[in-house]
Amino acid sequence: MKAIKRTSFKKEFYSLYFGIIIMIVFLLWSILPGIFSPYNPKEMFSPWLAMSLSHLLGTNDMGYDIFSELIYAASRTLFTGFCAAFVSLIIGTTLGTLSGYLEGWAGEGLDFIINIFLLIPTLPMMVVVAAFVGPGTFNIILIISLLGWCSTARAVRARTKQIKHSPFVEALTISGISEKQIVLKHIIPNLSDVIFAKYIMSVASCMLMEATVSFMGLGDPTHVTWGSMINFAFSRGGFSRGVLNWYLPPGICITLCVLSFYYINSHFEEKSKIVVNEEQSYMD
Amino acid sequence: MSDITKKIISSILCLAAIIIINFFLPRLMPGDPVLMLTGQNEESISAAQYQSFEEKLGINYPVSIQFKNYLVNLFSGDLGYSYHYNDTVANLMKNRIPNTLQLAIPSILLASILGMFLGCTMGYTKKQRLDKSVTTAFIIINAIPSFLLAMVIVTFFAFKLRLFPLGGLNSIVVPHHAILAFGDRIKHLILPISTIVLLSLPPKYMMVRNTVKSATKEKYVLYAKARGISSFRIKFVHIFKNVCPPFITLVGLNLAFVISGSMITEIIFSINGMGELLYEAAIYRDFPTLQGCFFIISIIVILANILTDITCVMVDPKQRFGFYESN
Repeated sequence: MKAIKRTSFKKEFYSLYFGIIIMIVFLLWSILPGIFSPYNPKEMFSPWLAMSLSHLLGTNDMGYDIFSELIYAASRTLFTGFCAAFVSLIIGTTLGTLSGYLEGWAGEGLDFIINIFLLIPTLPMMVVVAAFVGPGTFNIILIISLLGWCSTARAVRARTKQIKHSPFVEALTISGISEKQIVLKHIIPNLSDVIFAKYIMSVASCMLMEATVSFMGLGDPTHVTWGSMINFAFSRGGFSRGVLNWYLPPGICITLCVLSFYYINSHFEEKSKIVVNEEQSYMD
Repeated sequence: MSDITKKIISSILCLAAIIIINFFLPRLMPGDPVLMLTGQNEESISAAQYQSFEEKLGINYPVSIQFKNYLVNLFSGDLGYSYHYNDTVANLMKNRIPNTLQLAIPSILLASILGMFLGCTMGYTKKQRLDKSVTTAFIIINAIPSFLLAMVIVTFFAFKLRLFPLGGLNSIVVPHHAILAFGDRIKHLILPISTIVLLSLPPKYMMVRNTVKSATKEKYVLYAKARGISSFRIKFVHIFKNVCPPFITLVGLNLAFVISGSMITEIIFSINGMGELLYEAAIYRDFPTLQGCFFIISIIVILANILTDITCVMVDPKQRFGFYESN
């Protein structure tokens, strides 16, 4: 009996371990790139070198070592993802809480705004705005976060509505506590699990969006990210030459990063789901 | 207010928002709107040219009149003039929309059918291991950036194995016979369409699988089993009906994603569609074309969304009789 429990317990955590280990590796890459990378990213060698021991992933058309570039690109990619997700989280939480809590035309109006943003096709909109605003990390963060907050807002809105009709909020209202205090001190803390889950998932989706925008050639030209590495490989002949070692590694890095976020998130989501289910069964 | 009227109103408002964004973007951004809208450089343009462009665009009028002119132009089908391609944007678009739809529509249909089938099968199956491995595979596919998947597919199936053509919609010499030409087109479409299907499958599959999985615990399924109904019939008749409405909504919400996916795929397969046009316009900073593309894509997405909502109402009797309170 005990043995069964232990194995099932361990298996449950495999995906979480996987996610955390990958996350730690990428975070270390982005904090201390100098330790992991064999060369300076701007050091020139002869171009189009194949994979070898001295150049783990070969060199690109300019003669840069791809492995070093990959490691140095980690910080920019992660930074963009985390920042964009954070801004979109703030917008999404604010609008979501307000539209869930407010009654009447204000709540309906905010709901309409959320629905309108959901309908806008994101990628074309991002390309158009990015082309107008011009390249730059800050601009890209702003564009991604201004277009990526809808799903957070929707989830927060649904949960706020649920909490608003729960007995404890009714009790608070009856005991004469101001609405501002109810929202800030009692509803938002109860949203923390939704917000956390949404934040992790939106970091992943923001990274994918950044990669796509960079791939379209609208990324920050002064800083290399994984997306722009693939863009260079595509537009500067790596793709037509079939140089897999140039464009595959950054793509795999993005994929692994997104996967690690997904697994970390799904672990916590499962946990919160179990709690909810228990409550429900208790109610029955 | 019923859900469907709400949806239609928000679609109209969305269109209005897109028009407003399109109108104000070049006028509020730092930089000269005349240069932006014509896609010219300050160095390459003479004062006389600048003046004629300014007059043509009507930039010197007050904003309200400019907006009125813009709306009138838009509704008469004038999306602007691309100085990069030396053609009207509407003309550029006319040739490219069919190519994009040729990719997008079969992909949407295929992905929906496959997602439904796989989701129902895997959600209902008792083979836990099979279910788990298929689901994990879809989770991994979901994490791959769209352009990378397309590039890998091209590299392996076209470049290395040489099973399919590298890109484009036709061979250089199109066969004369209609059937042969059709076959040629199909051969060119297989790789891009399967890329888009793979890209848009995971969310659909996950949703159907999870819904079916929770539905198998419900009493009507148990009762159907007790009546001795075959599991095939339970899956695709009994549970299917309950999965349909949320599934159609999801397909509608995913349309924008499919369109963007097909845009990325077009770029990599060098297919002359809207995505390729948008990509080129973004590289050359051809703003009228960018805005025209964005506007047309938005219209397609919004119309398709309304269509899916109407289908949803037709399919779901509960919605037809207004059983769901609007929340």
